[in-house]
Amino acid sequence: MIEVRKLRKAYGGGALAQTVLHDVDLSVRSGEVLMLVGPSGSGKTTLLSILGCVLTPSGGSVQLAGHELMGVPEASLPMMRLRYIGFIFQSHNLLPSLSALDNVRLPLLLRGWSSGRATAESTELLESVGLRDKLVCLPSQLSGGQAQRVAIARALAGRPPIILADEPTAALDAHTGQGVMETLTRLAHEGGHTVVVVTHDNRIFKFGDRIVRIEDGRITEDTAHANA
Amino acid sequence: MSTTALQIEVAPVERTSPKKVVAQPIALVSPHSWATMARLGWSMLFHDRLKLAGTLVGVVFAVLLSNFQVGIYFSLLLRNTMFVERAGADLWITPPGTVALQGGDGTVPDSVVAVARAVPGVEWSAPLLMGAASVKLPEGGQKPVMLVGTELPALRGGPFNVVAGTPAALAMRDAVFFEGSRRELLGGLNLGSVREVNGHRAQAVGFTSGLLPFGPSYAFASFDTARELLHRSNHELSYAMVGLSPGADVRAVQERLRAQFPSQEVLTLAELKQRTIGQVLRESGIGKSIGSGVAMSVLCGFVIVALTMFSAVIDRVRQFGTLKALGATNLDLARLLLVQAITCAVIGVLLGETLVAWFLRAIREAEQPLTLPPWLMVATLAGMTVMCMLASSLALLRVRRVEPAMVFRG
Ligand SMILES: Nc1ncnc2c1ncn2[C@@H]1O[C@H](COP(=O)(O)OP(=O)(O)O)[C@@H](O)[C@H]1O
Ligand SMILES: [Mg+2]
Repeated sequence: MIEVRKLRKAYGGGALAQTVLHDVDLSVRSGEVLMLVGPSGSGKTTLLSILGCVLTPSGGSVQLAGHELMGVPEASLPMMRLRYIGFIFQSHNLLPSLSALDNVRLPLLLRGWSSGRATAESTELLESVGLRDKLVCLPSQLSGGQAQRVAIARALAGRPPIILADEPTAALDAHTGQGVMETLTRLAHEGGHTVVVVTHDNRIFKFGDRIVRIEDGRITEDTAHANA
Repeated sequence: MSTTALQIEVAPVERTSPKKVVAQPIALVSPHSWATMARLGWSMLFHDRLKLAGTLVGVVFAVLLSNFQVGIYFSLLLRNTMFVERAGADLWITPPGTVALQGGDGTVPDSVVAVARAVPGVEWSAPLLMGAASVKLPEGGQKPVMLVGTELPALRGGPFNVVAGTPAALAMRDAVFFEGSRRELLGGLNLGSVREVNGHRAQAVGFTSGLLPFGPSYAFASFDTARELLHRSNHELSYAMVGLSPGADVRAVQERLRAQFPSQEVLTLAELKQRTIGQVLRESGIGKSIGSGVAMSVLCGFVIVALTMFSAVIDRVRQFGTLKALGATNLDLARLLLVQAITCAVIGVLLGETLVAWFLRAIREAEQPLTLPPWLMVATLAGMTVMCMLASSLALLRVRRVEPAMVFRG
């Protein structure tokens, strides 16, 4: 589902250019849950941003479902995101003025779904993350764990093939974090989503089918999960 | 820290579904962007009431100030054209080169009235005498008035807006109507008060209301009294007024009168009003000062709206980043801002016009400091909408620069 070859990313230009990803090679199979780990500053977020089509690569090749990202004009990136990607952020980043239901509906409406269909799909997703009774709540009325579950539902809305999560449990306590990861991996496996989770919380490593370690912009370890 | 070696535990997670589902790329339908962005824009707008109030203050401010300016402008023009308007003539025969009814443009022979009456399409014609006169004040000094003499008993050309006395009283010797709101200025005039006007005795027998052009206020007398007070010769008029028979065509009658009186001017009511307004604008420069007043108030409103909308975007940069990461385009977000801008304009204009109407009700009096034509409401709405849309472009410039990648950064 994701094919990365000799990916290079440099911030800035000229003499000040700082290369943060060096010739990264990575394949993620369809339906795989991959944990991307490594020290902070190693380039995890940068890699995830490129996979998520919010950042353009400096060199090499990145393919999502066979679709090459290198050289795609900036203006087409929003469309790529709508087609392929669901995001989960460190802080939930729900829109504070929208109810849980409307937050989940939003990416569907952006994809041109009718209001009725979007509502049905969103309601179902919120049910599957255990928030049947929180549909009309504003994010400020939800706990951290509940908000992150809404964010999972939002990422899954429309069933995008790829889910990208950056430190999804960093803002949560250990127990809540486990619950959120359980929900995410369960739904990912049920729906056949390809998932990349950036984390340095080793208590959630176990949720991955595979663990990839990145240090100083290079992949240093790639371990299939014992149980996968 | 995660620099320690990987610790891989055996996952307790149950992998229940052996069936192999593969999620497919999502097919995109062309989105109902306007509807989605409008709802989102409104929810953002009404979520932050304080910021909304700030933006509305900007719009209301601009509405009030510009409406007051325009209201003063029309009230001033109206005060200058009120005499022509109320005199009731459809056509005016004036000395050549007349730019406004001030009585100083020369004279028309009195035969004109009789000749005009015989022209087809003319129902009536009446003489008018007009000239500056000075009223001697009891405590010394004098005040000018614009004295108008009209023919009894019809008294075409005034007095009108009568608030005290009866016009028929002008048949009495030396009788004069004065402008009621100038009574104090004219030395505490009352009904029956006697003043010296241009060295003649004159007695106040009634009062009018609101006849206050830029120059001296109007005073009315019978044609004969006025001729005496203004020291005019027997066979001279200032103007001749003409009223049309029902169904007569103004242009046709105007042409006939022109042919009859080649050495005079024949003007329609609209033409005379237009000339009067042109004269007032030229002489007073109110056009420029009011125009710049309106421009200033709209500019102030613009700055307030632009700044509050801009700061609203700054406060929500993360939300806009999230929207972009989710796949919203700059065009989507431009629509969102546009809907917000138009909404602020509409609410602001409704609030502002309510205040204006409320204010007008509170100050209904003779001087009518504000005259607001009905179309001004529509013009205000259009103007404020354009103003808010332009003001939102500052916010749009900022939104365009929001990087979706920012949402991954702390
Ligand atoms: N927008 C940016 N401009 C310049 N340098 C950046 C930018 N974002 C990240 N970096 C640098 O790139 C490196 C990798 O950052 P990041 O991908 O955020 O690492 P991680 O997510 O693993 O902590 C760091 O040295 C960081 O300072
Ligand atoms: Mg990071």
